[in-house]
Amino acid sequence: MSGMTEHPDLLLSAYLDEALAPDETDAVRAHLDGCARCQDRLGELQATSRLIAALPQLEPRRSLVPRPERAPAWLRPVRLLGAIGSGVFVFLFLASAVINTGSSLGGGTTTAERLAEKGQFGAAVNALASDAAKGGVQSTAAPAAPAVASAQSQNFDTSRDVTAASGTPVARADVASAPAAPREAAGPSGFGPPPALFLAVAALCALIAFVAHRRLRRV
Amino acid sequence: MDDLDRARRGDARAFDSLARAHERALYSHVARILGAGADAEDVVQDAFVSAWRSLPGFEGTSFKAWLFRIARNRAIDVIRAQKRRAELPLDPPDEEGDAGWAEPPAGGPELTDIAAGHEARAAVEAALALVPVEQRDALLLRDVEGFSYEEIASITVSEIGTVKSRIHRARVTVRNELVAKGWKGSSG
Repeated sequence: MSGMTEHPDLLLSAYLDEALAPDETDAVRAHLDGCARCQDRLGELQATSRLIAALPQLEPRRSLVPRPERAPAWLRPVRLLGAIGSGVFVFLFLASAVINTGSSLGGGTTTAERLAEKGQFGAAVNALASDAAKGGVQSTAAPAAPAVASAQSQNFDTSRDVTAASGTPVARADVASAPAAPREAAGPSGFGPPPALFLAVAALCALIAFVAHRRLRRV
Repeated sequence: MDDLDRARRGDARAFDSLARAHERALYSHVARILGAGADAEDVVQDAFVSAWRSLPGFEGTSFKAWLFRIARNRAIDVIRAQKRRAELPLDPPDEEGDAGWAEPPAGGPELTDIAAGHEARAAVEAALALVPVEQRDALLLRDVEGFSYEEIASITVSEIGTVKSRIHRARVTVRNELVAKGWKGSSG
């Protein structure tokens, strides 16, 4: 563009504002050196720009800056505590849900257990096999089921061995019913308050934090 | 921590300080787009409220440019609504080529010699009012507020080429209006 022969009228303002690329700047400068017309136009554009820049600021008739309502001093810590509380209770909800799920899997009474408790060991074996087969089919939904069945089978085998050694129905009944006792003590629903309660408290904390935040941002 | 950081964290006093620093410049800009008065005041006030609410999400570096963008967009929306009611386009379409360069009269003061007196200011304000809105907007952002072309492109959501064209055409229009009022160009 260094051999610019046409007047660079469209580039003059950008040249004035130093907003051209280096090669364009060089080309316009070279043209200006030998063109009085473009020098005059550049001078007038510069004068116009200065006149506009010299315009005074206008004064609004009233203050336009909104006054944010001064929020109470306690609102900020409430927002922080609400946010933290929400996180803590979500964690508690997840933790209790996981623990209760594990407790429920370990504490459930299967058909095989009930049969074993009644001394019907042959039927219990069949029931275990049936449970194991169901566990295999439903393994995607409940992957822990086969493992539980296996553990229960081991318990049953142990009780059978002991039964064979002692040879008395009383002993069989005692051994078979022994693992069930601590489960009943633990209860089928796990420990502590229900997980839904933690979730409700977390939602309440989040709501408090949100309301405090909106109040702090109000104008 | 500066006012911007404090305001971003919800410090109303810091925001108040920031807003007051830009209040008159913002109002002046909007008033030269919309016309001075209640509409311009409402637009600036709304812009401040919007900025206060959106400030936690602001991640840019220039608070001033961000504020001008909010206010300028609201002002353009107001004009669009007015034009829509009257079924008029916002501006005539941007044309290719140079804006016409009016020949100056023989008499009158030279543009380069005009002092920034009251008469000159009134003449420049009147000339500016005749410039199409988006060209005027770009010219004021450049000459009055001193934004770079890149910043103006960001504020007005336009290409750099469009910004260059708008600024140039607006300056030529103001110059021609002044010449038409009897100011003598240096080439005359």
